[in-house]
Amino acid sequence: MPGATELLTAYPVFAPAVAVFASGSITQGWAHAKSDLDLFAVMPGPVDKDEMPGLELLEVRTTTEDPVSWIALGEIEQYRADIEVWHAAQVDELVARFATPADKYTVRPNNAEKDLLYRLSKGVALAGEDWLIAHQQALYKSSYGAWLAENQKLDAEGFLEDVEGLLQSGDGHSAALAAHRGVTTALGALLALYDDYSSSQKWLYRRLVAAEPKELSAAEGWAALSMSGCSDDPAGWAATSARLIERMLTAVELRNL
Amino acid sequence: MSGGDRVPVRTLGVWTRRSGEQTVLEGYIDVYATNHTGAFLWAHCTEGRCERQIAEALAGEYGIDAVLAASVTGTFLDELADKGFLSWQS
Repeated sequence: MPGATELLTAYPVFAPAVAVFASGSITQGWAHAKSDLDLFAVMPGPVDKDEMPGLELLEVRTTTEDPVSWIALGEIEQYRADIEVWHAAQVDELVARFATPADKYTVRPNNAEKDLLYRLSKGVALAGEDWLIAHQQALYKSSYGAWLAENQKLDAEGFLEDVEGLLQSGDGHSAALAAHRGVTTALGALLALYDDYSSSQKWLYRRLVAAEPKELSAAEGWAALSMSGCSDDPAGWAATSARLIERMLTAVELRNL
Repeated sequence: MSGGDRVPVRTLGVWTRRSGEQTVLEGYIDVYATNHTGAFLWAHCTEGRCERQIAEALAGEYGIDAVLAASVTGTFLDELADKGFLSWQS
């Protein structure tokens, strides 16, 4: 994997960064042939579009006081690189929001910010290791995991309500599909309790294996994710899966009491 | 089946929301607000745990004696059953 030297040689605009870190499937060891390199440059202050010439830039809106971050599309060695450009005050603001208990929290992070916090939590420093470690520790000590789990739990409860209604109406096929959505969402909630803040569905099984939650084995999780037995008995599968969802959600309830 | 052997089964589709110091159970029509103790008991209504096991967990969590824990648990679960938030496994 390219390091800071390769990044800064290719894109010297990021030389003043307080931290540069890599995150994503490549650093997790899950990369495939088409995986791109996810890099994050945390700059000391706001960076204007004009200060990044030669880079293809996507503007990202944020809920922070400075409401803009950037994704720069580049190439480093053989990799396509997505370089997210944030500045330190934005990251500090996001992490600090969760220094208070989760239920006191009012401003919801958007998807880009949730992704940043996940990437930060799993980041591997290319430069500015002290900054990265300090922010990872602050994030893990914060109420972010509890907040994320609670929110995903509420989403999963919506699917459970659908499962119940659909089963009562005799629509086993739709109940099964609702239950599957419930399984994936509830698993996301459960994994958030284990410091996995990702929202990626495609890595759910790998995430489950990595987190090893005591509430769900990898084998049981895979059976649910792959809808094992569903084609023969959709309604039965939905009813069984609903109880599995319930088990995961009660773990969140207990942890967040 | 004696009281302590009863196994509560949550009604599917009940939302469990936190609201300040309270936990609110929200069914299709009924809403029920409870405190930390109630939320603790509700969260243990899963995985086929019987009333006695739930009462034991309560006694362990709050350091109260078994008789009081059994009484509190039975009363609370009966109330939830009356309101339709759970049923008893047959």
